[in-house]
Amino acid sequence: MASSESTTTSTTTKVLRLKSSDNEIFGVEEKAALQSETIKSLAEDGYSEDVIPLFNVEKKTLAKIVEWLNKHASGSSKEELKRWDADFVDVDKDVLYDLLLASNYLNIEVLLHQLAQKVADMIKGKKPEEIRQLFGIKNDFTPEEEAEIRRENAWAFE
Amino acid sequence: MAGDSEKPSRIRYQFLVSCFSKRTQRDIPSSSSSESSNFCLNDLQDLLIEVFQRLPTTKSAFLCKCVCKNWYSMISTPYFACRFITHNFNSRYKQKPSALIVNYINDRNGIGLLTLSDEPMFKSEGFELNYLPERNGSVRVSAVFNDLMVCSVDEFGYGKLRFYICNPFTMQWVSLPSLDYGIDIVYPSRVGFVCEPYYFEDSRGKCTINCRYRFRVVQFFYKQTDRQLIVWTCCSETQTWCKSVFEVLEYRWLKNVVAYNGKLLWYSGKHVVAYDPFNLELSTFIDCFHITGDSRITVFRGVLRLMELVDLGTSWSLAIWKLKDYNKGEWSLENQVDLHTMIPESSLVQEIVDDVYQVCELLGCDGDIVYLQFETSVLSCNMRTKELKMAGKIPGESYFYCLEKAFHIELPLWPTPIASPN
Repeated sequence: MASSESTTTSTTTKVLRLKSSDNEIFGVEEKAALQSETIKSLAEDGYSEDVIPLFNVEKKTLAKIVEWLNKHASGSSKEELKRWDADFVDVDKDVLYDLLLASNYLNIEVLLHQLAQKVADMIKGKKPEEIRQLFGIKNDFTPEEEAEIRRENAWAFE
Repeated sequence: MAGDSEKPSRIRYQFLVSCFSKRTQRDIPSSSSSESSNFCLNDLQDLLIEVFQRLPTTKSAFLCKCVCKNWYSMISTPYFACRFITHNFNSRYKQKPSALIVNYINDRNGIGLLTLSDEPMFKSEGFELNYLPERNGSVRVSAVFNDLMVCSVDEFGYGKLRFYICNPFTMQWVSLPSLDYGIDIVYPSRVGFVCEPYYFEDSRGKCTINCRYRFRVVQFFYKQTDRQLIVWTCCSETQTWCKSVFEVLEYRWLKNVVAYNGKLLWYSGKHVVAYDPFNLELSTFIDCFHITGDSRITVFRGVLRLMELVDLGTSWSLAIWKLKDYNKGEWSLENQVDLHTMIPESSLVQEIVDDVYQVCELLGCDGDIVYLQFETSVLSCNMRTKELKMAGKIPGESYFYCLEKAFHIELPLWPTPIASPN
């Protein structure tokens, strides 16, 4: 997506250095890294020569993100990417959560959409109490309110 | 790049980082605590909409309303409905699932409603109409627009009609003021229903929500003694009924009424007359003199069509005419099929079609499918593939004196909400 527009003038492959919140540095080819709108604007702001600090992303999450960025800049076929992406998002929910936060912060739209779809797929077919349990959501309705809302949406429970 | 312009942007960036890292302390779990689950969807407020709009069905989105207050309020907004529709507009429902619904008289002499569709949403409880105040089988469906049905109850002999608008998918309903038409020598005939859509998509797939959609419910009456057409129109904004009387040259049997571009088109068998219920005016007359058989009008993808059933003595011929030009009133024959040349799915269907003593009646049309009724059997005839199938059995009598029997209903991407009266 965003990778088509490059800010470098040199023709050699440029590597951007991304630093995680716990000070791990990842070298990523510019073409791959610029899929992140956040990195792109930082690079445009002159950070491309230095290390780009990503204070919100831990190394274990950043490693996954870098893996994704590289794969999506590798020119793989659509079918292959689809399979690869399905495996990529097939992670436990804590990892999924970290990836969601990171892709949101880094503004990687395609990845964010894939992760949102994954969460939607997890919700699909579940009853409200199962959804609460799965995602650790507190039921903040009073019993009366809940009864009323269930009555109002009774058709969705059929 | 000039050094001057570089500086402010770095400052801006560092400011952003410091704001963000403050939030980070709280929101982002540290790696040491990874044993316990940190997944807290409600911390991802902005992302929740992205998740919800990707739910596979409207039903699952409505189910999520029952999870917690935050989810309830997010999913209840028109903004969310718009996001959901926009997201799904291109990916699903290229053709909205639809069904034919048929009023019939059940064995307890009450009115029942039969739904003909393979889609499970049309088998839902909402089609049983048990949630309406009248439960004694006196409610009949009188008109349909998109996913909304106008149901009516005729208090026979009192000159009074009661109306409800309901959404069979969500079971929401509202009652309209009752219509006292008096005990003049008039007979309630067809009902028309025009409604502004709750949402519409533009050519770029962008969705607009119309929360305060207006509608008109129109009750037509016929008077046997003179050539007057009496029309009562109920206005959604004022919640009042308004009477209009039109002198008509030829007031024949009112075969059926359909909504078309904000107007009601009423079909007599010889003419199509347009009634504008927002301005209480009769307008365009379109001739249909080429029609010889049983016929009715229908709207499909914004085009007015006429379906015609001609008795050939030993067989039946089905034709679909398309209105080429609304202003010129020119019809063109789109498709014509002899029932005997169609491919029956079973010997039972073959027998029904072969029985020359069976009375055949046009019930409705949905795209390429024309529904025909042979006594209690409803057959679906696919005009394109020539398939002839058993669509269903009417579990009772089906004769309704001068009232509309069958309607076409659609399952939209988002159900039209019905606001309760103030």
